[in-house]
Amino acid sequence: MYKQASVEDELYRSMEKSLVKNQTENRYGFDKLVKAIDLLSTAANIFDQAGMVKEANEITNILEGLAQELK
Amino acid sequence: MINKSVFEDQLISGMQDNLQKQASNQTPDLIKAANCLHTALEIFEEIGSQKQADQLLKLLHKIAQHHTTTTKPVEQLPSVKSLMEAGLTQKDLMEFSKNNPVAKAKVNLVLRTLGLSEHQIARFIGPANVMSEEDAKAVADPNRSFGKMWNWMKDPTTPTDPSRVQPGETLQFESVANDRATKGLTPEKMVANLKNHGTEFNLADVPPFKRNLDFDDMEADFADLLNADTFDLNASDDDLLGLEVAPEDDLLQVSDQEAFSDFEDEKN
Repeated sequence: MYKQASVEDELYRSMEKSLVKNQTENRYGFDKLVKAIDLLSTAANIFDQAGMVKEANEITNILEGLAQELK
Repeated sequence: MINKSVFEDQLISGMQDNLQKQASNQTPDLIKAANCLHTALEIFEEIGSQKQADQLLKLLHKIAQHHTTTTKPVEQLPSVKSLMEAGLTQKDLMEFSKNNPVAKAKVNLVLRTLGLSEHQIARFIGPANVMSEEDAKAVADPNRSFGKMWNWMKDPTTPTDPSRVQPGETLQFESVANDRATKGLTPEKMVANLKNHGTEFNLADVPPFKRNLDFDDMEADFADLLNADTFDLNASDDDLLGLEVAPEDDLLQVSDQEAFSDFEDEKN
């Protein structure tokens, strides 16, 4: 049988983890930020393939600036 | 120091990427890239990263501006007015739509005179309708029979030159001269005139032009009558002329006394 105390403890920790995650997501938007970075990366690749080096470099600069801010 | 093996590896991978890009020959989906940028912009605005959002907006604006200015300008066909001024008629345009080669040649020549290149003409009227300048001149030349042949091929029953008499048509002349010698002249009358007078004209009907006659216009014997004091209305023409007709002879025999005396005088 399950040990009731450990289940409660596990549930408690899991909920706490979710709460913290939601709080940080609400506060900093990390998931959205990751999604935005992925989108920018995809766009930069496409521009690179199309020979639009200037546009690709500008996106790279934006990503670099973002990385500097997050440090 | 630069690690030589790493540098070579990067170079090789870079070249490989380039080769793969060229070999794949796939057109990059720029619309997808623009959508990605737009979604990323919205995310940055949502999470409060206004700086990145502004940078992305600026980039999107630049891309849009670049593609607007680099799009090829739309070429416009010369206006109908300029075509007309260059010598093209409405009929030529209608015939051009019916694939008339003469009209095609005219359109080609006119577009060339308006300064269009052969490539531009091909884009306007289609590559199949483009003629070289020499060919167009030769086909459009009115002295050549190509146009007449084309018209005849379209409808062989239509006369090529309506001003000329066509086979089977009757010809009717109408005299424009106000001359009595030709007035009312018909082929039948001409034949009759020719038989009777030796000429086809109405010479017998021509009246004297002088309204007042003088001595010169009359026979010499009749001219004396004009000065005579009296004039016998019952006298015959023979009496008036002083001719003596022998009753025992043929009535048609006429003797002139003076003529005989003249003859005797001559004999003597």
